[in-house]
Amino acid sequence: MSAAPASLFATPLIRRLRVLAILTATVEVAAMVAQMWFVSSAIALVFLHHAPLSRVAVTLLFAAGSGALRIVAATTRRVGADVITIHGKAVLRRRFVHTLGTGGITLLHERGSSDFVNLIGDGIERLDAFIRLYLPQQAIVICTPLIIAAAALSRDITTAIILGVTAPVLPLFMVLIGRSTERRVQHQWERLARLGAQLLDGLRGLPTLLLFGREQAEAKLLQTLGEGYSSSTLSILQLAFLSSLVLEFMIAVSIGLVAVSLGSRLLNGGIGFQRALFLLLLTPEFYRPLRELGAQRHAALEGTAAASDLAGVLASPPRLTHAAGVTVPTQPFPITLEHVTVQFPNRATPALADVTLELPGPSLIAVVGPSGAGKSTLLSLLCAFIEPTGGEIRVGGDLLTCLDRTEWQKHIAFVPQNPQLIEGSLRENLTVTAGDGVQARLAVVASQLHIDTIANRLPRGWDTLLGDGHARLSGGEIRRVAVARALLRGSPVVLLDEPTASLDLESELDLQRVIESLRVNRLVIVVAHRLSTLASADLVIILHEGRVAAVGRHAELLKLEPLYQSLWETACAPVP
Amino acid sequence: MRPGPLARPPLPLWSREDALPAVAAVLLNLITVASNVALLAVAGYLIAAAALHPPLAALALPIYAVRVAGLVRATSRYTSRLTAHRFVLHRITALRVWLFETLIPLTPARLMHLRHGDLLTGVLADSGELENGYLRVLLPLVTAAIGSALSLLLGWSLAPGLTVVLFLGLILPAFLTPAILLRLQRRAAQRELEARSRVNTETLQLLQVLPDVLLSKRREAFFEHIGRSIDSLATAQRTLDISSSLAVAVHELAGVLSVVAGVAVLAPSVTAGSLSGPTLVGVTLSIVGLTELWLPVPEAVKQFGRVSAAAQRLSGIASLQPAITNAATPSAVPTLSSLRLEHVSFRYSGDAQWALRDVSTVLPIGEWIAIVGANGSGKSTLGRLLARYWDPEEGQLTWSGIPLPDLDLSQLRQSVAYVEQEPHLFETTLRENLLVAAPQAHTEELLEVLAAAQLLTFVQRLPQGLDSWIGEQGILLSGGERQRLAVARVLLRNAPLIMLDEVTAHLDPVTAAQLIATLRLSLAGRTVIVMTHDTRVARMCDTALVFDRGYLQESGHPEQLERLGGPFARLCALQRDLFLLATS
Repeated sequence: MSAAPASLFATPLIRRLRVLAILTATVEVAAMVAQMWFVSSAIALVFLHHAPLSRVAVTLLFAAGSGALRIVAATTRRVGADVITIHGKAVLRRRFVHTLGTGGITLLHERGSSDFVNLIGDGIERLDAFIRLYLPQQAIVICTPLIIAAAALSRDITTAIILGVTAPVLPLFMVLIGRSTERRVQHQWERLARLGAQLLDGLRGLPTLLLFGREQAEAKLLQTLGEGYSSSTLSILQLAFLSSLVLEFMIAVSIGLVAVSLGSRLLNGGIGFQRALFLLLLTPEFYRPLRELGAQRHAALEGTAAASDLAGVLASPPRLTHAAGVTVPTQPFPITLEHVTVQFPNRATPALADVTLELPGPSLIAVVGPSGAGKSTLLSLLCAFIEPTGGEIRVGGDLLTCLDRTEWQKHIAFVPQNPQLIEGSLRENLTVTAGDGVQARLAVVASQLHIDTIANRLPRGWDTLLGDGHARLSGGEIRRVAVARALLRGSPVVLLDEPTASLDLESELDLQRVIESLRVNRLVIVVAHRLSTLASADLVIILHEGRVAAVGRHAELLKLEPLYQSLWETACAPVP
Repeated sequence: MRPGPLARPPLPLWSREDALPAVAAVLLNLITVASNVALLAVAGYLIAAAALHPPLAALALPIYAVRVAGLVRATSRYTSRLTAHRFVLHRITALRVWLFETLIPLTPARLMHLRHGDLLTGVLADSGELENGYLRVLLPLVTAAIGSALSLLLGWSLAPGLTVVLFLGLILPAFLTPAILLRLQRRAAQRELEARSRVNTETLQLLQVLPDVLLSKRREAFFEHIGRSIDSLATAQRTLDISSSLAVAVHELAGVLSVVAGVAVLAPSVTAGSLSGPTLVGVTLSIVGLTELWLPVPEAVKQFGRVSAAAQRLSGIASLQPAITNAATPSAVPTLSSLRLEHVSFRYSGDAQWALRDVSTVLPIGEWIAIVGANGSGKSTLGRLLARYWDPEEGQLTWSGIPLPDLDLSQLRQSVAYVEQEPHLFETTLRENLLVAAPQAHTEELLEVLAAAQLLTFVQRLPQGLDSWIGEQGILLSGGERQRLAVARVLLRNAPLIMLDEVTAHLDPVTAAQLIATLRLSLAGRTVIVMTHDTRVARMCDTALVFDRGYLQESGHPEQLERLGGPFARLCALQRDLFLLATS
């Protein structure tokens, strides 16, 4: 179980941590043995020989000196572990961010964005105690007691035997008790997380609860849940703390055993006082690493749980396999899909199944179909955000997976279903994904989509900061900005995912005119519910449950496809 | 909603019923340390006494005491940990319920900006931080303080010099070092907290704009932006962790030196014969055992800044003023006989644009009323004022002649069935989401409202039907399905006024038309307000009110309005234009 969290960190880093731990522990334990030797000698001198302070001063100074060395060694280990752990966490966080670059969209399909944020923040922090405390402790838990036992052996065989017999029994007990409680403890932590999620959900839904007059019921529910959770947590903790109870108890018994055995031999003169005191002082130190390891058991469990979550993200298939190499043609047409299938790992049915399509050069293509038909997945594929799990996509004859992904994506402009603003000025929001010479086109695109009206309304015009905590735009305005942003890329392929949703009619009309002007020299693919877009499209693709149900021009489909017919008639009927 | 504008209790950091477990936890902690001290001291005493070769009987008591001390230590440590957790768990439950109840009167007006940037998550993290505060700050500090006093007293009774050693050697460094580091650590803790929340918000933002970023030539710059926050997080953590490690080192060094100093201080008394040898050994070893009392102090001080900041933020929420309060003597909500707006003006904040400006109208009872307009015309605001999320800045809204603020708030909200533009769905099953509206409803009723909301076929096709899990905020449903589920939910309530905000926005035209048609049948006789920008939906209503930038422009029967050639006619023409453009 120790392997999992450590495997997330770079191997040399972990090795360095282990080596550091063992080296410092060796110095520490040697200094400690010397310290105890000097302390016991000084006490023996005072106690048995009534030596004056001046005679024991040097011995005491040596005791203090070796004690100080011991602490320097221990502190070196701790600070070293601090530095290594912090560095490791930062590297891991950066790795996570870069994972987004390759498999980000797939990741978002698999888990929500808040889940990912939790992992990169708290998830990685939960590894901290494991790496910083548990791992070094684990490295020294064998060598430190061994050195102490050897020191004891050189002075007294009986004490060494007591230590040698009790030491292996302790971890055995701990493991036995730990095993039987581990799973239940784990389960309990998961319940805690769920309770937190439920509280958050309740808070987010508080307006809804108020509307239904259910807020007091929810508060009561929280109270009951909380109390239920507390009592079951306590019953689990009773088990979880049991291993430490046994450990403490065994250690106390062992110290008592050593003391009594030393005492009885002192009585009959079998051993000298200084030697006995030295051994007695060593005994708690002998058990200390085990005790500390036991105390970090919880950190170990939590770290392991966090690590399996984190590893899941880093290893989640499918990873994009794009090779850098084949150059992308400037007119990347036609784009063909041959028997393309996309199966997300946690879904029962494929998002796209056996899709074969040919997308010719510049034209307007409309994609329609009910929710969940695979429209957005199709666009993600063309953006190379995700890869097909079956079949292939070719761009002007070359396999898409053989193209340099970044190069390919320069040819794509994309407006997702829920476009968002980035934190930055209105101008930055428009130009963030743009290619060269954007300033020249900015004015034209801005007036086509009436972005200048938005700029005029904002307090600092084009330089007004937008995004979280800054000036707010309406849903329709955000969409207009997002479409303008995509147009400013000047790329030959333009993908629009429901660009007219939540647009008012005037804006929709503006957008329609813009699309008309684009189709002349670009491949425009629009996912649309609005039939107005369909009528003017060069090609309409109807998707249904991940499959292509029909492909054709508006007029043909109107004649041949009864479903399409009824859609069209309802849309047009109220408008004479 | 309880009466009284500001009767909210402060952050319940402490309650009397928790006193017993808290005191017990501290006491047990002290016993744990004491028994460890006793174990070592008696063991030392035992071998020292044995070295003087007394009769065996004289050692019987110390031998017995060693065993007892060991037993007591193990059990008291175990029970003290359990008691501490019992105390903390109880407190945290109380805190969470308090948090929830404190937020109720602030909902939704004040919560709207809290929800922004997911500050709610921060609120929850803060309550978790307090849990840490009890366990790692409060209990260890109290234990260490009481233990310090007790050990000084004990030291004084043995030898006054020992008191000096204990104070200068153990107690002072234990509290002084963290106190010196306090400012440094507090600043570092603050920076750590900021960096951590920066990493979180920047990651969240990146995820929201991920498609754009992935297509951007500055993709690496975006990643590097978060990378810099990650680095500054690491820097703050380094300051925090290394200074804590150094504080621990000081504490340990103090322990080592105290043992040596203890021997040096007591040696003259032993030489002089005023202190017995075994006592010297016992006392020296008890100093070794005593050091563990102050071991948690550096960590407690390190956490203190974080915990107090969290407590302050939570208390801050309690001091927020609710946007609306229940009337002192609220009237019962009468049967809906009229619904009027009289010179209503509203804006979301003092410096914002007017969301509604001087709107006066009478809404016809028992009819379908369409509120038509572009984005930002004030459609949703009108709904929020009718549900009394806010009160208007000027003018008033009346229900059967009574101004809304005079009506009992919870009754009013039960009389209004409101589907918001972005309805909240709970992370549970379809069934549970419906039952929120009517806990007693039978399955047949649920299926009925689902049919009315055009969602029955969808639900029946799901393998688990009504018991399907819909994910966090209904993520497993499409936009249209989410809205229709919210519609089904309000249909379970027999409210006289129903408001549907853009419920057809994500639907294809056929489903949209079917939805409105079936709802007209199942809601016959009730007053229904539909906010929409689609003139086709408006034409299915009895009355249309056209808004533009907060002003009511015209109202009347949709067909009449279209004939009049005013704003509504212009909107219809625009929609027609779209088709003409498309088909030309």
